[in-house]
Amino acid sequence: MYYKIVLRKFVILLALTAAIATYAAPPTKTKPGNQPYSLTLLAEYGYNKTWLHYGGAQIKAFLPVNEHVEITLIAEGLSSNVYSAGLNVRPKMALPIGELFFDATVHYSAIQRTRIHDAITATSIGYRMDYVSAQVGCFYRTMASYDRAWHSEEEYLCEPFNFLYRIAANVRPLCSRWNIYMGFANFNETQFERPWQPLFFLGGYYDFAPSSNFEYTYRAASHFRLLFEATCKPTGMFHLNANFYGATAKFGFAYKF
Amino acid sequence: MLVVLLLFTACSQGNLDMLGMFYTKSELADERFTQSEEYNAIHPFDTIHVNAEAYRVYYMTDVHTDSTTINLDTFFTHVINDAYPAMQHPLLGQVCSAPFCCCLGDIVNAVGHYPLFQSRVKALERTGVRMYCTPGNHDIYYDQWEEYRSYYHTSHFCVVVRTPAGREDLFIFIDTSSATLGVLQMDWLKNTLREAKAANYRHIIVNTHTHFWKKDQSQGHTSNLPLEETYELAYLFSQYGVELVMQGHGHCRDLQQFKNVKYLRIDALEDHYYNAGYCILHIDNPQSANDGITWQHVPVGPQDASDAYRPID
Repeated sequence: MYYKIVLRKFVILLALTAAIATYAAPPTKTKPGNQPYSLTLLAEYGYNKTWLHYGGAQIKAFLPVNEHVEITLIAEGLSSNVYSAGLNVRPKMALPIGELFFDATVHYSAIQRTRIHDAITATSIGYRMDYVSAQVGCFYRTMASYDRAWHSEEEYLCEPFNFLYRIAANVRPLCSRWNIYMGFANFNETQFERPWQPLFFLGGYYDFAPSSNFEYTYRAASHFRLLFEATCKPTGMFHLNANFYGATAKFGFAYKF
Repeated sequence: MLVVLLLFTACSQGNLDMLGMFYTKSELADERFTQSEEYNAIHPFDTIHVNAEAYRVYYMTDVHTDSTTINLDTFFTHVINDAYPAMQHPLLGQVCSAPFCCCLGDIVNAVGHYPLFQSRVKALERTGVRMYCTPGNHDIYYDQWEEYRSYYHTSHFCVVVRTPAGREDLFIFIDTSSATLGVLQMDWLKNTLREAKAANYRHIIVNTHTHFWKKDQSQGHTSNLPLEETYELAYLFSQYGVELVMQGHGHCRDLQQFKNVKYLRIDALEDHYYNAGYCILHIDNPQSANDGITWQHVPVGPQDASDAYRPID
């Protein structure tokens, strides 16, 4: 019963934070200048009612081409015998307030434990400000059995035009040294769920401060960012009969070149 | 989001438990399983003897009983007529009587409508025809599990049908009313399927309320199981020889095939629903082109009678 109370409080907190931040914050430029290349390593622990306990590791390369285009590559392996990789291309455009971005993603998961391929192509459009961001779009899912012969329709299913959404709120502006964010979406970097299967997330990061007074070793440390993200996945919300299904926690660091 | 919730609540006239999106007052999936196991432990699963190798099973789903039972009465009338060979169903001819019928959930729309539905079920049972149910989300929310349980006792169970030649068909009923089986029911299902494969049943048919796939927009806003569980179940069904998965929840007929398992979703029987209908499974019908399972959608709403007798093989 405890998680229900936590979940309810989390949703109320999310709504309040987003509302206050949207209406009270002065408009500022979202992210000044180019972003550096970065490499992120994350360790993951998860539990759900199907796979039970599992662990995993994730590696992510963030490769901005210029100030208008970002590319992200991601790969993940889970001890539940599930492996995935994805490519994300994000053209973006700074506006007087906030930033508009387009997003194109291809993602593939090899669900070895059930011998199923899961492939996603997604396109979306988003808008982010200092305190809130929103993203909507659609994705196309293809599911195929490992044992499938070419052109065998019995082993192949596709789910076209799934609605995709993500709404998040930060407690501080995006360019801050540390931040905490929270929100809900039906996808993240490694999974795409049906629209009525939202994921609730809470995360944060902390950048080590660059300082000219630091010794070399400390200046090296200023390249690092610590990251944390927890995700909760209830099921049956649109059955109006919500049950806890699973949760994940990721912790790691990013090295900014 | 809050505004949308309030609007839904205002428009639903008390039929939708909107708070259930975040907090359900009913027992959770594992709690329902545990309570059902207490019943199953002292009540062995039914074995039904039929008088021929071929027989029919009537399926309905999403009745959403509210204040009327027009389509439900039609369904029960057809079942009763078919159950007595002397009173042949005009559409079917005579193959074998229908030994039982099934409801794939959403018996009622909201609180307070079980007595009306049960009054019709009692009339059916007086004729000797049994009805088996699997719970739907509408049957559970608003804390209705206890009421459901008082009538149907268990959320998950099996029914074995034995033919004169000694062949057996297994019907497995699972509880997906919370869009998850939970840990315990998943274990039970794995064991049941493992034993079923070893027992060499002629047909294995799984019955569930929540459907598995979302191939088009026909299912409207109804939700599915999480993908992890969907893939796990698809694998299990494929591994252990499940031939057909009967589904409700989407209110609209659909057929998908994945990993050599057929997933058949049937129309809702809800009153005032334009495409209302039910489905008849024909087990080893000698009139069909093959000896497997075929099915027939029977409309009871105002739409044209069509789509008769499509084989699924």
